[in-house]
Amino acid sequence: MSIPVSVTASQTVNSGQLPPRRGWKRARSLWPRGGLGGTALAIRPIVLPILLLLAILAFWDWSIVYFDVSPKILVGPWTILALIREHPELLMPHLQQTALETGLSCLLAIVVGLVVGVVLGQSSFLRRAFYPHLVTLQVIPKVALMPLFITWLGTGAESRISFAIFMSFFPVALSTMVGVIATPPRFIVLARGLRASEWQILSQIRLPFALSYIFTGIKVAVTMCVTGIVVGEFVTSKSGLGYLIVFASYLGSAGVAFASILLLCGFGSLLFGIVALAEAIFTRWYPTDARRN
Amino acid sequence: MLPTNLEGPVAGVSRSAGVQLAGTARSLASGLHAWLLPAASGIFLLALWQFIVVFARPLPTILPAPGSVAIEVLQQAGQLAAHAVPTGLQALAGLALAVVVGVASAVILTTSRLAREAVYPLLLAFQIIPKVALIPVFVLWFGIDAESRIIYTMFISFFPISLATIAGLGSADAGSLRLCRALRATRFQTFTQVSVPYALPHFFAGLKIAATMAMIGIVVAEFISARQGLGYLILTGASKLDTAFVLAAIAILCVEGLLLFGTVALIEKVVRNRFAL
Repeated sequence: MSIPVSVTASQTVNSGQLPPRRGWKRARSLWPRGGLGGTALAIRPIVLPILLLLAILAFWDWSIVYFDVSPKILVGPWTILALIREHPELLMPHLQQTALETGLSCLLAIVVGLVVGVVLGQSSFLRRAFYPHLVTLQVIPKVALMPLFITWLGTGAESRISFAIFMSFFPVALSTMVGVIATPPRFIVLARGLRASEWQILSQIRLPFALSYIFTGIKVAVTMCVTGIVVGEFVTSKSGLGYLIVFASYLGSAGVAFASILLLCGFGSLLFGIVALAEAIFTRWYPTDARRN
Repeated sequence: MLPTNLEGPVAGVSRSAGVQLAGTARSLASGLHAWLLPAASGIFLLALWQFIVVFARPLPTILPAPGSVAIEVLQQAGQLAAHAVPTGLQALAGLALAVVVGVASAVILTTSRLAREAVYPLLLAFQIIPKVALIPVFVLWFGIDAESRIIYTMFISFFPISLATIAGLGSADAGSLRLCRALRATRFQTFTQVSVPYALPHFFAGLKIAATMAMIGIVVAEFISARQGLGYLILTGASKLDTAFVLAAIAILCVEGLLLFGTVALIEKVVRNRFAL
C-alpha cells in the first residue's frame, strides 16, 4: 500500500531535531495511550460515558419541564421509570410474551445456523453452489417477507418465531462456515494422520477453532432476533412489546411507548450479555492461546 | 468430493503439491465455476419451486408459481414502478444523510479524545439495542410522511458508517504518522493524505452494511406509516391475500436493494483504484 505524502524536501531541513513541542503534543493523541497519566487516565473511559449519560438524562428531564413538552410527544426519564415501577401489570405480560418468543427463536436460529454453517463448511460443492445465494440474501431486505409469513402461518406466535429464525440464522450460518473453513490445516492433517473420524475432527478441532467466529455471528443474530419478533408484533400481534409500542404511540401515550422501548432495550442487552457470558465460558474451556497456535 | 478434501496419511506428504495443482486448476476453472454453480443451483431451486406448484397444487394464495410471479411483475409494472420510486429515493436520501452525519461524527470522535472516550461506548451500546422498536416514536415525532421514514433510515444506517469510519481513521499505520510528523506535515495534511486513505476500506465496509440497513429501515417504516412505497404495497397485498403480487413487490424490492448495494460496491472499486488501495 502506498501512502502519498506530499511534503516537499525543503520542509525537512531541520531533520535531526525533534519536531516543535506543539506538533509533538498534538500528534501524541494519535498514539496508543499509556504512560501519560496513570489512574486518572485509566478510569476516564469508564467515567466519561457515565457522566455523559447522566448529563443527557438531566438535560432531557430539564427540557421536558422547560419547553413544556406534551406527554403525547415525550415524557421525562423519571416518568418512564415510575411508569414501569407503578404499572407492572400493564407491561409485564407483554414483556413476558416477547421475551419467550425471542428466546425460543434465538435458540432455534442458533441451531439452524450451526447446522447450515457446518454443512456448508464441510462440503465445498454445496458451499460453491449456495454461498453466493446466502450472500445475496444478506443484502436484500428480508424484513419485507414478514407479511408472507403471516399468509403462511397465521397471525399467531408461529409466524413471528419462524420469521425471526429466518432473519437471524444467516449471520450464524455464515460465521460458522467461515470459522469451520479457517481451521489451520496442519491440525486437520495431524488428526487425519491419527485416523480421527470426520465427526471427531469436526467436534474436537473445527468447531472449537471456530468458536470466536460462531459467537460473533450469534451476537449479530441475537439483535436480529429481537428485531424480527418486534417487526412481527408491529404487523400481526395483539400483544407483545412491539404491539404495545405501536398501540401506545397511536393513542398518543409516549410514556407507555417509551417504557416498552426501555424494557425491550433492557431485554435485548440481557440477551447480548448472556451470549457474551457464554462466549467467556466456552473460551475458557478452549483457551485462546491454544486456538491461536 | 473435490480434490482439496484429501484423506488418509498420504495427505500430509502430497498436500503442498496438491494445493499448488489445485490452485492453478482452480484459477482456470474459477472464472467459470464461480458463476456456473450458483447459477445452476439458483435455476434448480426455481425449477423445484415451479415443480412443487405444478404437482402439489397448493392454493395460489399460499404459494404461486415463479412463472405467475414473473407475469405479475410484467402486468403490474406501472403500479410497482410508481411505488418503487419513492421507496428507492427515500432509502437513498436516508443513506446519504447517514454518510454525512456518520463521517462527520467519526471525524469529531477521532480528533477529540475527550469526545471519543465519552461517546464511543454509548455508540457501541446503541448497536445492541433493537432500534426497530423506535419507528413508532419517529412517526409520533415527525409525522407519517416521508420525513419520518428518511430520518429513521438515516438513524439506523448511521451507526455502521460511524463505527467503521472511527475504526478506519484509527487504523493508520503508526510509522506513516510518525514520518508525517517528522516531515512537518500539518495535522490537516496528515489527516487527508494518511488517515483518510487508510480509513477508506473500513468506511466502505460500513457503508455496505448501512446500504442494506437503509432498505430494511425504509421498508419497516413503510409497514408502519406509509400510504405509498413497496412496503405499503407488500402489506396491503398480503392483507388481500394476493400472494403473487406480494412476491412481485418483494422481487422489485430485492432488485432495488441489490442495485443500492451494487452501486456502493462500484463506487468502492473506483475509489480504491484512485487511491491504489
